[in-house]
Amino acid sequence: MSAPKNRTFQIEAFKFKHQVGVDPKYAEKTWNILEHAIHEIYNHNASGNNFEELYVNAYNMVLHKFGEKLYSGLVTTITFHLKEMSSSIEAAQEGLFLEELNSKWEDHNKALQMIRDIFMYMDRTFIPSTHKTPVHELGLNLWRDVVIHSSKIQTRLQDTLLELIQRERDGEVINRELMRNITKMLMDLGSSVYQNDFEKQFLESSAHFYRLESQKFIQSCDCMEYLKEAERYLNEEKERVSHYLDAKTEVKITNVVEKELIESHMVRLVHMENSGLVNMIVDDKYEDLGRMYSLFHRVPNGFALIRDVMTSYIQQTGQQLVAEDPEDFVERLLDLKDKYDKIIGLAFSNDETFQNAFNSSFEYFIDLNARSP
Amino acid sequence: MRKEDTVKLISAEGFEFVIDKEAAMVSQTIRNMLTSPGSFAETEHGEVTFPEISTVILEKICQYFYWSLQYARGKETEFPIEPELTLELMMAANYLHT
Repeated sequence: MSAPKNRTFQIEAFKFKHQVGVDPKYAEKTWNILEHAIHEIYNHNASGNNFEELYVNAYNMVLHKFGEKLYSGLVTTITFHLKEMSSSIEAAQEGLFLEELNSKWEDHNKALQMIRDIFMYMDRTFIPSTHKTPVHELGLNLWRDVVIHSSKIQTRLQDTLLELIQRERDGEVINRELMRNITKMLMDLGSSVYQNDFEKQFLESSAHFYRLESQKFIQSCDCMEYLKEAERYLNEEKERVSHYLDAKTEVKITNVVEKELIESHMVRLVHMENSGLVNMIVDDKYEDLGRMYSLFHRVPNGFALIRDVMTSYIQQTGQQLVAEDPEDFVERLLDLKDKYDKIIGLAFSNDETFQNAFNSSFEYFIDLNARSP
Repeated sequence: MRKEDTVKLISAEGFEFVIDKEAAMVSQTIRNMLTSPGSFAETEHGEVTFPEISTVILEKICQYFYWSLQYARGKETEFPIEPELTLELMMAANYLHT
């Protein structure tokens, strides 16, 4: 507000409207009122409470230098309620664990907001000067320490989440919204909580899963089917992330899938009997070639592998052609060129490096032929 | 003024000031009170009691709210404050976070 005009005046003795003493008994009484209010809030009993009365109590405590008592009292009271919530969550039956956790989390958040509003004066003045944690953050930290990191809940939470994801992979329908609320809760508590309490295990167990899956498939499928499966899994994981995981997980899980499904089996896939790269080229399987291109694109050396195999095959066929030296050599040569141009255009997105590789291998065996100009 | 857009502020002596919600929300404290998720008595009845603030001060504060809205809209006038009121006014302003 704007400063008053400079004039000499008498300041009357400022009298407090209430009988406010600075003795500890007053503080004790005031604190009890507030503590009672917090209990009411957590017991869903808060309607009808007079906000102003609570606010003025908190205000007075801070004003009369009882901020410390207020703050530590707050910590104790919230911790007490969180321990209660914790027991109730631990006691939840199978299948209701996540729901119980989620509903208590929502309760806590609502209570925390109301508490923060009541203690706003303390947040504004006492906390910055003493460098303590503000009320909202304090509430989150306490939740994290008392509930999430309690020994019984921490492992159960992780196991339940992973189990549900595995069930979904096996084809079951799970409650995605509930999953999203839980992962969002973990993110709200801090991305390190999300990573340590969930993401790390998720990536590890997924890697394990895909390693086993790829072993199964590589024995039973041919190359083209395998690639279709790989593509399907990649899409599935992407969709999973978008529905109920944090966006940053997408890159990490994609890497895991690429590594286990594609990179580990790249060489075997390309050289597979009756269905590998060479067969695809011979049979003009553009769609499968395109799929191989886009999948191998994601892994290091994927392209180099395709290029090398293709180059050596071209050189081989070319050399054969040169050795045979048939009548329609030139025509056959042009046919070959058309074929590969089409492949590079349709399946390999006109990739320049492939074009160059193709050109140089062509040159190689054309040079072998003494007849070519 | 429509009933829904107003809020009643009651002073220590029981005087009632009915002002626009928009004006009252110049005070952060009142804003929080009215937008808090809990169903406090204030939000239900649309009235807030200030047993610590006298009528004279509360009246000045209401004037301040309106002046503040006007100032934000570009009308840059002065806000006169009688020196006798300053101390109490400052305490109230601190309390109301204005």
